[in-house]
Amino acid sequence: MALAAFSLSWGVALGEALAAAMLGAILGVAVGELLGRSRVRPAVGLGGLTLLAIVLWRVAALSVGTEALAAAVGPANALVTASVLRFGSLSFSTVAGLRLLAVRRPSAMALELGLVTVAFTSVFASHREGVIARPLWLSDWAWQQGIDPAQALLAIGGAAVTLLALLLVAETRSGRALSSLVLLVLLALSAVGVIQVVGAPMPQSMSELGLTDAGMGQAPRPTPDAGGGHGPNRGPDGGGGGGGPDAGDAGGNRGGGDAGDGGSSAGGDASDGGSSGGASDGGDGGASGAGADAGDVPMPNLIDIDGGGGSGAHDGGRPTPPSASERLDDDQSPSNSPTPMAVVILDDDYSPPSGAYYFRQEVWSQFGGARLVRTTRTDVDGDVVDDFPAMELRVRDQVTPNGRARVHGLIAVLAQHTYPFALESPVRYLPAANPNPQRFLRAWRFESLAQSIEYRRLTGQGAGDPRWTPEVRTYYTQPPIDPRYHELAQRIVNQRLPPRLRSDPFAQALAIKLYLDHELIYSTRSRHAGVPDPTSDFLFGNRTGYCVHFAHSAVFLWRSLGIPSRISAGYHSDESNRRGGSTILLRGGDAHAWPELYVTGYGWIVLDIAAERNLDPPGQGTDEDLQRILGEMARQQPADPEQPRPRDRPPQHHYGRDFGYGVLGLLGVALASLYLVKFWRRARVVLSTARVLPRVGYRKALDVLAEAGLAREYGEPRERFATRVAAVAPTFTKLTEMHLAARLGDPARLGPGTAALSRKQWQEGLRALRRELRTGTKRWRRALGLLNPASWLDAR
Amino acid sequence: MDSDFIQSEHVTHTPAPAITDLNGAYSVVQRLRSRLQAAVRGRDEVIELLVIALLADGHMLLEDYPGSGKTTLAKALGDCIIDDKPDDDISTFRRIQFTPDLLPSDVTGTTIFDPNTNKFFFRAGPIFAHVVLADEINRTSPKVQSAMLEAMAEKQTTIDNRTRKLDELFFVVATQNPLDLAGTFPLPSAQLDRFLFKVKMHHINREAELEVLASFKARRAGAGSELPRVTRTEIVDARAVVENQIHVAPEVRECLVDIAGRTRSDPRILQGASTRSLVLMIPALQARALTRIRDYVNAEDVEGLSPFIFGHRLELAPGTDNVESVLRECLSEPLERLARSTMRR
Repeated sequence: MALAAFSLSWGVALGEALAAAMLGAILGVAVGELLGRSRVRPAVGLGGLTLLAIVLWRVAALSVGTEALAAAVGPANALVTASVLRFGSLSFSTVAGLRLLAVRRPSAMALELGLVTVAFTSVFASHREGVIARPLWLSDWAWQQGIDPAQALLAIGGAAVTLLALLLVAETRSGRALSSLVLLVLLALSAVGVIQVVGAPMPQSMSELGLTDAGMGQAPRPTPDAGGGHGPNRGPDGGGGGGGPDAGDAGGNRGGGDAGDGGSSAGGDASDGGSSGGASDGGDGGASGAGADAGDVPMPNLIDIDGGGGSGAHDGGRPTPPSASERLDDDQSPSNSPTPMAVVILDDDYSPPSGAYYFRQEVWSQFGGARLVRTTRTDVDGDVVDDFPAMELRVRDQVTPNGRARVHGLIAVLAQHTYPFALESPVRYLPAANPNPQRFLRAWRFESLAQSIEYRRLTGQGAGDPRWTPEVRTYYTQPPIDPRYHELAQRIVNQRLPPRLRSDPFAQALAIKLYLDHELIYSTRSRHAGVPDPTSDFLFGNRTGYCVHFAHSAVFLWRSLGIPSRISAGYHSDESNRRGGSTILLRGGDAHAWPELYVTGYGWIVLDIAAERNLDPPGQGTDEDLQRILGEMARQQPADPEQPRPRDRPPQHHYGRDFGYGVLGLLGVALASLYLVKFWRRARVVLSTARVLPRVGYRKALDVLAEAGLAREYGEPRERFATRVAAVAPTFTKLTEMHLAARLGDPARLGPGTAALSRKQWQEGLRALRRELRTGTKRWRRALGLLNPASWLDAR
Repeated sequence: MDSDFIQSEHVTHTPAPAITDLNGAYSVVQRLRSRLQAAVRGRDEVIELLVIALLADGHMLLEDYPGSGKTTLAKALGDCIIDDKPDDDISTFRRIQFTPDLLPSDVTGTTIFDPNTNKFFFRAGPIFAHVVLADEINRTSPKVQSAMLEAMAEKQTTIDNRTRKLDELFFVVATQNPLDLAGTFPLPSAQLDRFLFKVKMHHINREAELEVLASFKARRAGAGSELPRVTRTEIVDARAVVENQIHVAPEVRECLVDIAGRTRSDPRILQGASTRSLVLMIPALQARALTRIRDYVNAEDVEGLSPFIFGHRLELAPGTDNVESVLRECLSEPLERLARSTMRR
């Protein structure tokens, strides 16, 4: 009880109050026991206890409400006194009241047990739905001891069950102990069977909680590739869409400062959360002079470039949703990652004018000094959503349907993602059932207005939305202070455009894109890490980098000419990958960041950079089989029977499930035989000969009594049992006499005319017995007995 | 004489019809029971056992406090019995108050020289009666106790090398005080074995005690004396009927042997139940079945009589003092087996 009070008040009380709650509970048990044994009526006792609690509560309120006590002992002590009084009186009266009830009415003990159970389970409440990393105090301790918390939790559960079973066995009389144990084993077997057949409860695959290391506030986990215990951590997947938390290839690890290191601290914010130690360096922040957040992690992602528009450059690099990469694939090399991330099924036939599908997950538009980051404003970038759709979710800033095609589709992800994504310019998200929970983590539907207008027809339009306020326009056009951007941009425009187009924003943007296509060199090896401004280092340096650098360069150049632009991040897939089907398999290597500009009347238009020179080795093409199979799975269609099963899931034998079915089957057979025996014993009276009548008839009487909960105890003579039962069923005494006279009496005197051998007498007696039981016992008791297949085992 | 001899009156009576069947035997039980219950209030259980012991041809040891009605009970039993052989010089009831200086001859009788006839003649002691109350039997010397016990076991007594037969209906009700043990000679277990029952009497309950106070005047005036009595012959006949006509199933005999076996193997019991106790128990069980109007012995009889039959025969190991709980444990398994045996094919 004291422990129950302790664990219930743990979260809300301080040291003294905790002690008071425990003491109150101990006192409450004693006083409740005394009250229970005294002649006090329960209602009076309960009333008195409630009154006492109220009075003490008032006193506690007074002690902090008035100044007298505070003046006498000091304010802190007055507060402590009040909380001691409150918790002490509450736990005392509750426990004493429950104890009093339990002493008077044994059934009220259930309330006490309930309280203890609630107290116990409240401690482990955060473990519900199978979240093995909770409660934190347990998992933290277990990790520190090098124990798997799952095992610790299992051990606790097992101990609780064993304790309960032992208590129950101890409660019953000696004759029952063994059968109880057998029953317990049977129960355990059936539980195993059910789990094998139905499956163990799986934790909800929410991105924030659960088994994955993407959880917020997760305990530090020792990882094999972590050099030291403290240094490079697998940081939590922060808001930035996640950089690959790969300590191995991280050039300058500075894990010590990462958000993830704090153990249970929350994941970082947008710019901080990338925590990709490789690309970042501590020196960045100070030099650039931007906020600590932005400067700390200048390159949020190691997102790799992809040759836009189907140029030679191909996807290299790492998967975008980094938390997922750890789950699905250990291959974290910065080169092409073929790990499947998501499957997209397009419901409408749509062919993008750029030759590639862009799936937008998030947007970086706010200029952070050296780079673009997620916005902190609420009035911009209203066309992306942060939450997975639980119901229909419309994006705030709806794009105009001009020059766009309405495309519907389904996305099923195989890896953890922080934000939903959809084909560029989504207008709404819809929840969808997970087509295959064993394969996909979640699924949703989208409706997008994808660009259908040809690029060349976009010239002659303005840039930006006329509805924008001046601040928003300034926001989207804010360039770096470095004058070289403007000079370069102006030079490109002057060199490459005819005079009539030099003032056309789209033509300017296109000219810069084509210039960049030609000039830039794709390589994932060139990170431009460790410099204050990686973009200028890239663009005005060796011009070798990857998509993030390309996108930044493009946007900065555009912005220097006053073109509203931003960077979107997400997935990119060449149209050719579709292979003419409607399924698009997105892989880790498809993660991409691209520049976008706002064309008046048409919204945000993707204008990606496709570098003509690529230093990276070509990536491997899409696995067509895998794409098809995953697509079928997402469509919930059976796999083609003539095709081999997916390589990653070889056919395997479910021994556990077989065992489960076996156990359940055996239990079913056992149940059926129990019922069979039960009803055979009933019917036997009608079929038996007079010689066995005393035995069979009496057995039926015993069965009927056992169903009503009346059973002879071990060592109790039948006559005494009959006397005991006579209060409910007087006829049973007569039946017992008939039975015993036949079985223990002189066989010579047992003639055909005697009552013990008369079928009429037995049938009348049994009828009378039933009648008496109907009036003498409770209906639910009899109903339960009738259903109980093993009731006849009690009939001795 | 130191002993206090009380002699009940001789009453002659016309011979009653012989008892040959269970109904006749049960009428004997009924008459005894109602007369005793009229005389002694609140002692129905002891009366029941007394009747059973009488019909089972056993003797009874009452352990209780002075003034608890044991003399009244024994005397009422003597009063129930009509001596239908008045000329054999055997009275229906005698009481012997045992004292430390009592001599065996005070109990058994002695030969006395008659100066008129110049011959020795035998003067029968108080032991020559149908019902003998041996009051405070543990206060006398072992010599007197053994003289008494020979009579109880053999229904005969030897005086001056001549063995004299006691009456066939020789029934001893002995008493001993459980508390006042100073200067006593506790009966050794071999002698305790001669008693069929040892009954610990407890104080009667409040209602019964009130009733005793309310009715003692009427009882002194002879209330209940108008109730029918039984003759000596009827009792003897009833004994024969009980022995021959009440069925003892083999399962019951097995149960008895099982119980004895359990008492012998129990580590808390130094000396288990004797075979003689089992032999004595059979008629007692039969008599109890008769009092319950049954013509067979059942488990309830075994359970009901076991404490009184085995209680004083078991010698407990040091550290164990509650014979009842030990016995209850010894009984449960054999009784369970007996109960299950009735459901066997």
